[in-house]
Amino acid sequence: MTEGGRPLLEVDQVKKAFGGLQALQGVSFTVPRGAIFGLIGPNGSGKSTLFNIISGFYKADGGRVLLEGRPIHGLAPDVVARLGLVRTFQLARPMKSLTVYENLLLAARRQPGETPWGALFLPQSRWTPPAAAARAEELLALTGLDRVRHQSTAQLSFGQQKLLALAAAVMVEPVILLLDEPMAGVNPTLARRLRETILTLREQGLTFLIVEHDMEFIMGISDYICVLDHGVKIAEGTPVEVQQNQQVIDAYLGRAEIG
Amino acid sequence: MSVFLHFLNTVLIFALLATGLNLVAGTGGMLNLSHAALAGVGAYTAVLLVMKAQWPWLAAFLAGGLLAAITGLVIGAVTLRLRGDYFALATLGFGVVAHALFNNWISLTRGPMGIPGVPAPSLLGLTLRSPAAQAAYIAVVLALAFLTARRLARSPWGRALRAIRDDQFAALALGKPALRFKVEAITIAGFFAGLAGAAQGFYIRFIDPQQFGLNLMISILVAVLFGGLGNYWGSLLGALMYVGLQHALSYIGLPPHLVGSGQQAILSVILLLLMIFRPKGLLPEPPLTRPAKAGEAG
Repeated sequence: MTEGGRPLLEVDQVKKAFGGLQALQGVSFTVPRGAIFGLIGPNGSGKSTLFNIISGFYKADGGRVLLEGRPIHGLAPDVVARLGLVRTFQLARPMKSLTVYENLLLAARRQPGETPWGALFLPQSRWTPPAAAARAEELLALTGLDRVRHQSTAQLSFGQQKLLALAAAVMVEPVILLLDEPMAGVNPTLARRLRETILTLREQGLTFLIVEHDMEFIMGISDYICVLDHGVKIAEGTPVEVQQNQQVIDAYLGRAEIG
Repeated sequence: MSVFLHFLNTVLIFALLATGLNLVAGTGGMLNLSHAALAGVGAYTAVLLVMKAQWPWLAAFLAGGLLAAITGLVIGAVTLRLRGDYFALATLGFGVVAHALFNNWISLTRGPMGIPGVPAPSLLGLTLRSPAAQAAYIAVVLALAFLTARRLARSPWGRALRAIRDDQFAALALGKPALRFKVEAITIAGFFAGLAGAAQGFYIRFIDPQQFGLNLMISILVAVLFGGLGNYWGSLLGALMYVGLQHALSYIGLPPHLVGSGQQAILSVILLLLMIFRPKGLLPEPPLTRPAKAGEAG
């Protein structure tokens, strides 16, 4: 695919119902390469469902998802991740029996020691590519997690776990990162760190799609914002445009006329 | 036959079974209840190849491991989409099917009558007839299995397997093909189980379906839990303790009609106490890397 014109991620008429509930009623948007794209909406508006569909955890009832022009809807989540679309979870899910550093190494791609054959017959020094170890060091420094690198993830604070989840996702070498409420439950100091980390990674060429309830954060960091309500896209544009949109204000503040 | 050598052979075979199950259930977190049946597949394959097809012993022995591995691969591919309890039940079902096959494919297995007169292993013109010689070769096999399992568990492969055990969704989200790792673990463990079953057949010189039933399955599981899930020294220790206790209990003078059930009752109580006071077993799972020496992977 040509890099110039084509958007990095295209979500096209995606539909999903759970029983009688229409969670998504044909949502479309496109995320340009290098952008930070915010996805917002009141609780129950379908953001999480859409995240799960894009990342391969749910199957859509209809519509398409294209990554760099290639259809990825219907693919398994691990395949989607290896194609370059990696997600984090609202509640960080670090691996409990691994240390911080091991969590990062785990996420690295193309490890010769990850097949039984390689594990048994290659020397330990060739189990993990040196580039992966170097990238892990960079990310430990960038996130400030180097002080706790040998700690079990169970000992981390909630915010540190979220930083670790972000760093681990970056280890997969994604072209786009989907962050599910990165700011929820994070103390102000770590929130600043998280924000700086996201901006640094964007400068390094990463694209972001972020679901977030913290309006100050998402309006401040996003280039574009898409607003969902009851499974329908009700607005899209720059943060300023979206904030002035009457439908968005209604959706968030409640509508007297709709029961 | 010396009591000690018999004890030793039993422990070695049992430890081989426990090492394999530990890779699946400990490092991999999968309660595979077909492990004993896989030992049966190995035993019948190896014994029949020697007795009916006149294969050389070593080739038949390895073929037993190989067919058990392939059976494990098939079981894994079919059942591993199921989660937790459902997976355990499905593998239990496979165990029951295998048992029924051993019992009812009479033209091949002689059913419940079993196959007597299994010849002793012979290697390079030597016949390993004595229990000491048998213990020696089984010890070599066990050592290889132990080193293999421990190296695998410490490698990036084992790290991914642990991660999938911890949180399969999160592992998938990081691009790890969870099913592949799990099927590989069951296949490798099946190979060990098949070798253990074959070793038992050539040691006891008789195989029948009962040897590879639910009783054996529970015993292996208890030994692995005893020793500690995910700890390979623990599996050796667990096998030693389990077989040791069983032998010890046969000397305490229970009335003959109570020996079997009495032993089981006492073992159950010991296991219960262990689970209450040391839920991670005698030796807990070691960390993947030791933080003391950075740059050196454990």
